[in-house]
Amino acid sequence: MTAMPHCEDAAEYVSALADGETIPSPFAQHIGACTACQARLHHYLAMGAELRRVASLDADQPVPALSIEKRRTTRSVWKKGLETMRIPKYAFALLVLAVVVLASSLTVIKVGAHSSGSVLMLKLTGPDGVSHQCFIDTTRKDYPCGMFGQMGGDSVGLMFRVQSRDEDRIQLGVQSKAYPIGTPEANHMGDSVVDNLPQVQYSFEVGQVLKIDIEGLGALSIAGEWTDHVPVLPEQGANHLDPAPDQVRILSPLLLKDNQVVGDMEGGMTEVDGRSQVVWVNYENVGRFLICSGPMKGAIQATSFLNRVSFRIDGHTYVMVTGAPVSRSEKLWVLYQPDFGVPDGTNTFITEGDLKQIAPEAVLPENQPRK
Amino acid sequence: MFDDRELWKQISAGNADAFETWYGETAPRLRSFLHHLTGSEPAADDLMQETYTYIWRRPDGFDPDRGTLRAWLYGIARKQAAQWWRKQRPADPLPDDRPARALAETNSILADAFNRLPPDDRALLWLREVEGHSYAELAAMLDVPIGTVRSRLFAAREALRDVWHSPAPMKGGRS
Repeated sequence: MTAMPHCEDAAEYVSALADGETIPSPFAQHIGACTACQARLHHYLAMGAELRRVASLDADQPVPALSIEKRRTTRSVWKKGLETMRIPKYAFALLVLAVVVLASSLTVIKVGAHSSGSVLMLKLTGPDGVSHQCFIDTTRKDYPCGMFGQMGGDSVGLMFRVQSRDEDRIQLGVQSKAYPIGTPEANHMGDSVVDNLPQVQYSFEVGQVLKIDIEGLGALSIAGEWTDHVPVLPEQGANHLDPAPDQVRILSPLLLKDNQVVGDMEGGMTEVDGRSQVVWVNYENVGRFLICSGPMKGAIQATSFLNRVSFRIDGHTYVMVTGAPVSRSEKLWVLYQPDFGVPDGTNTFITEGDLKQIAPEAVLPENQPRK
Repeated sequence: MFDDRELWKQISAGNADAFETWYGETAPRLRSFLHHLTGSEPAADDLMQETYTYIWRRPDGFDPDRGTLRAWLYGIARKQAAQWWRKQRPADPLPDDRPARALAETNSILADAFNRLPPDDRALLWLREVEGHSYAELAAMLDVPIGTVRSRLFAAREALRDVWHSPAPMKGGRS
């Protein structure tokens, strides 16, 4: 026969009863017959009720706004031709964070490749024969590579994800869309479009070439190799700090007006080659700056030295500070258009294109392209 | 209204809107928990921000098969608070803004007693009594057996009961 437990033995089970738990029978019997244990149970229940009452008083307290950074995605935007690639607002928001804008003629420098690396570098070659790179960090969930831009005569959006990996064999998820340039859809190619597309799975072995068919575009060749990291500036000429002749490179530009910061495009970058090409930097509430290695109608001459472009407009001193040398030449031309309106309302972005297409009114008769 | 699995799918895919909606739904109670745990509203706000940032930065962090998203949230918050407590130097005055608030707003003797418990006891009691986490969830959060949860809850309740029922300090001499 089992002895009846004492109060001190039963106390822990009184607590469990207060939590709605069932308890062993001998303790249940003792508690049922013991006024001290029942008093303890009532105390526990009252304490819980009082705590919940106090907590309820906090329910209406306002909480501070959440401050989170958008999760990083490796992205690339390539090719020139802004008139056909007005990147939608959403894409611009990401552009400020992590987008690299590529000139298609850029020399590609491979980062240290390792067969055992965890970052997959994809080399994508479209029907136009031009290759582009993107990087997928397989150690991080949902770290896709997105690419948006002009390829051949199409505005193309591509998103790649590594779904699984077995040594060099991977399962590659691809979302893609291509619209002919000139169509309304082509003007709004971006993450929001591609993210909603069905994902097609491909088995892909690193070291081999995978050819896939992109509807509306044609064959896309995909080659891959492992690297040990995602480059800070994927495919950008980071290994060539010295700009090429007539090249203008604007990387993460900070704009100062009379020594006050009036615009910050952290993470945005682009570059152009040739005097017919311009960099377009648009700062919200400041306006549009077109920067060219050659003269433009209405432009003022600026001084370029290392990572700074300095100029004066209407008695104000402007300095654009960037993350890399801007130009080989000390002379650049800047056309400032404070009232330029962007059709889709996007106000802070950086891109590039042909001057004749971006600002035909600024083309000088003698400004012949020298590409 | 998403279930945990669907919600986490959205969050882990980087859907900031889904995350912010979830924040709006869960933050007020989490803040209350952290405030009562630390005794400091600024610390509670900081820890709350750190908790949600921690979650946002770890899209692989939550496994729906191992528990609820809410239990995971509170488990992380509790750990953040524990780290915060470890950083408080013993010589530092406790950043306690609760007594004034307790008197002014809660008018609760028990709340005052609760705030005098050790942080671990406070966390455990709050998670059980206010947030209603099950023994199994608490065991997972604390990484202890369920039996240990039961015994710790009992010890915490007894500590609170002792403080609650201890007579207030007498003023003046004995009559």
